[in-house]
Amino acid sequence: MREAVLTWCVPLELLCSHPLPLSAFLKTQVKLYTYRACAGKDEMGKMVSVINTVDTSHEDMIHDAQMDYYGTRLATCSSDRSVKIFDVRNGGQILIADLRGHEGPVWQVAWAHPMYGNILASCSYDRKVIIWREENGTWEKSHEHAGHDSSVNSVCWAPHDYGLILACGSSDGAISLLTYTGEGQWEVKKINNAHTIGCNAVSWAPAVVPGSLIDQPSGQKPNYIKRFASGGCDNLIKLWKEEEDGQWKEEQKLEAHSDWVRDVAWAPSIGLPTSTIASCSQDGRVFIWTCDDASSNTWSPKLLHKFNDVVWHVSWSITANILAVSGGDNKVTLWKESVDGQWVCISDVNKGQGSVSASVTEGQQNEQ
Amino acid sequence: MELWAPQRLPQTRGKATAPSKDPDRGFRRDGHHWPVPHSWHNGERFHQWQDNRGSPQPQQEPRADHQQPHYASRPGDWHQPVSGVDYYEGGYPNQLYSRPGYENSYQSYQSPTMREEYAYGSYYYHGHPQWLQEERVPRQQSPYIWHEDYREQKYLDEHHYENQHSPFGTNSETYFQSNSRNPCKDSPASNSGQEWPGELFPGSLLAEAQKNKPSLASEFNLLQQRESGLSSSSYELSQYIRDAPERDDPPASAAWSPVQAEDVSSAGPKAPMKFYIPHVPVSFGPGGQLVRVGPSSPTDGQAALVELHSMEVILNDSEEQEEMRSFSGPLIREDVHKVDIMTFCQQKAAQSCKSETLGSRDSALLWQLLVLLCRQNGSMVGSDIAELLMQDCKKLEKYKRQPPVANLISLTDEDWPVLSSGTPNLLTGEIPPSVETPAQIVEKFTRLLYYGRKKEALEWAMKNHLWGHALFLSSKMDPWTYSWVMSGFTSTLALNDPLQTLFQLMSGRIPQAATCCGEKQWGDWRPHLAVILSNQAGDPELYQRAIVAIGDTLAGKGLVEAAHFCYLVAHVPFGHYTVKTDHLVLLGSSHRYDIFQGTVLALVGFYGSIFHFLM
Repeated sequence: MREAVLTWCVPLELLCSHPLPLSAFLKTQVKLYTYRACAGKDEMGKMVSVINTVDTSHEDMIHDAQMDYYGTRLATCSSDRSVKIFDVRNGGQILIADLRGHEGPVWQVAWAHPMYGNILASCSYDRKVIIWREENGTWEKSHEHAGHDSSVNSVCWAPHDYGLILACGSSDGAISLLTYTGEGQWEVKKINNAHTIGCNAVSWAPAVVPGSLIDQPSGQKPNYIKRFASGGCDNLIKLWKEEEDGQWKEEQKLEAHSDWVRDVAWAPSIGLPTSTIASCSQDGRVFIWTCDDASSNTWSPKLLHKFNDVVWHVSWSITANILAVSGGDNKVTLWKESVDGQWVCISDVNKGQGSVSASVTEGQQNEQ
Repeated sequence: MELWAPQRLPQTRGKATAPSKDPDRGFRRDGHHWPVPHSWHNGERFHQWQDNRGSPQPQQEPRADHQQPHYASRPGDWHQPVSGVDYYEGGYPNQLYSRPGYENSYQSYQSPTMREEYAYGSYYYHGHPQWLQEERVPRQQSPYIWHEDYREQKYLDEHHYENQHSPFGTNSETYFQSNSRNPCKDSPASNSGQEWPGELFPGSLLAEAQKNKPSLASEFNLLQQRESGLSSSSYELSQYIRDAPERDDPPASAAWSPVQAEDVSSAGPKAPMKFYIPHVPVSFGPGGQLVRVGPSSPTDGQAALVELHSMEVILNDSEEQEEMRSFSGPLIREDVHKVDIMTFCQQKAAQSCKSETLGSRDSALLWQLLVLLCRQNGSMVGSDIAELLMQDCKKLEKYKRQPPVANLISLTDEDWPVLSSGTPNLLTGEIPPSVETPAQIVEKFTRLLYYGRKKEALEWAMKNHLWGHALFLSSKMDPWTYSWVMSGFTSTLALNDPLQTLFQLMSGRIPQAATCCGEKQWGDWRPHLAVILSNQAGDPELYQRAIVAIGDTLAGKGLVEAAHFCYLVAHVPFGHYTVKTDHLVLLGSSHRYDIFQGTVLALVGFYGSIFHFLM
């Protein structure tokens, strides 16, 4: 099997959240990560995109898999109540840790920013959120949060600029925010009745002032406003904002779905003046919400596609120009916005070929 | 199992008397019939069935043995099995079949669930509230469940009273048929081995009876939700619940989902599972990877795999990928040799030349300018650029004077004095060919000067195109006369003649071309810029203003690349996107009008980065 060596370079600024003037952005394009993909070819001679297959040995369904900040480790969680961490450098798969502590299926894992150390959060049906930390080469439970009355469905770390803050959404309808205050202490703020019936997903807004990429540098430190989005069983997506007094207030209510919102994802920002959120639902629809003005008041939805089955996950690429969608048909499709503002499916990730499935394009024509 | 069996028996007997007076009440919406007196026998009968099917559960055995004889004595109760089944179901530990992973926990939770099931059983058992009251007392252990049952029952009673006389109602044969059908269908073989056959009955019967209506358990949840004050539509919840049984697992699994939740949160409300079927979580890695989890079910023996994909390969065939590959970035001085950049720019220029779009020629020019800049390490000399500008002009245009009349009048600075002699208007420059030879013209010019008639001499010279003589003479006279003669001279040139542009600029004015170029009839803007660039003298600020003015005019006409070329050679600094008065933000794109962000991003990679690499 011939090896095709490819490189993928990511500009540093796209991963930082510091606003920079345009000229600086262009000058300091640095090769942050050279990723050599040893992609092989299948029997037909077509390039196969799979570069590594990790056999996790989980005993039950896997519910989440996340790579860490550097792309060297993979964390997975499963209905078998365990969280596993693998070293996946250079196509390998070495089990680093098998973390036990949950008493129910673990729904999601989230890596914190490496500036705080090697930290992983997990949430489970057992109503608990556990924060795991690697100390001296071994992974241990660092903190356990049991403040919810029902399954905790989603966890998401805030942008590192805000500190070490974790948002947790639960089936009891509440969202709790854990802030690390030092010396093993975590402060808890709870938003009760955020969503009736339950909250299924939480996602933080990036810590970038919209428009900073193309604005004139003002020289003063940007005034961040902490925001996050949540999706719930009340078919709503809600945007939450932290007020000056530290209390969280519901800022917006986005209504478009006709069934439970299964996932929300706030797109990472490179400083362009728009904010974008993707949401998917039990009703099979995926919406892209955009807000153009700096005051972030009017959000307008655009239907990406209506699938025939529930859509479970939506996830943005680092540069936020590609959206991955995974649905009940167990297919993953990749979407990108074209020049004229329409979202088109650019790939159907099915065993690695880059072709777009006919059903999706037909659906596109029917929907739009 | 021995635990509960004795408990039940006395109570069943206690109930034996009451219901007979109201047989209709016994009928449930799903057509379950419960003639109470026989219930315990039904349980036994059910148990009998269990034995017949070889139930794998060890707990079954004692009961079987215990109740076997009773059953045998009641052969006529065949039509009772449904209610018996219901009744029976309560007694079995809630061995979960939909969530194999929970088996172990269920084993350990046997005791409480037993009671809960008993509650269920009792619930199915009768439609008499007063009995519920009675039975409530012993079941203190799980008040929550019980209460739920009661509410559930009320709900069902309210909403399904009309359904009580279901098809099964009085027709015991059909009832029997449906009953008998179910156990066979839902034999353990059809489900994972851990399933408890007994539990299959009620759920499956419900399913059969309800014909795809939400199962009882879903109504448990609904009631539960309603009671807790949450606003949800039953449709959504039922949809959710219905989704769960739509898999291979029998519909009865939905009936037990509230109870299985009991295991992990014994006191709290029962939460729906976030994911109840295999799904494909997907996320991105930082180095262009896509993490995709395979939708396998390890409990069925499939391996739990996670695939890492290369985004580059996935998007291999896209146009942007092709462009990215040909780009020799990132542009770091140490890493990239300028030859690569020049090659890239030349390719782009050739590409632009080939495409026949509106701005393609100008776009090619811009790329060629970048090549030039690269070759000269960032320094720009006017004449080199002029050469670049002129390279495409294969033949010099013939700048014809405009035909006579009006449009020329406004262009000259001074009004020409109209000669009274009736000779053709000097304004038009049209002078009818004279019969005199050049020698004779000069002779007359000289003769006029003998007499000191300089004015007439100048007029005669201008009329007869004796410009050299006229200009020399007038240059030694007063400035007014000199500029008069010069104007006369330039008026013989075509308006769009680059010479006009040069002379006007040298005279200290922003040339006409600055406001007129870009228009089709004006001709090509490039010679004008070339002539300005190559002959910069005098006030450099004026020259720069002139070039910027040309650029502005071209931009106004939509020739963005041409305008940007002008700005570059005029050393206009790059500005910011949001400042609309800035001339130049991104090479090749206009920030003054709405442009799509995608274009911005695409162009960043090319024009701008190369330019900055050079600077």
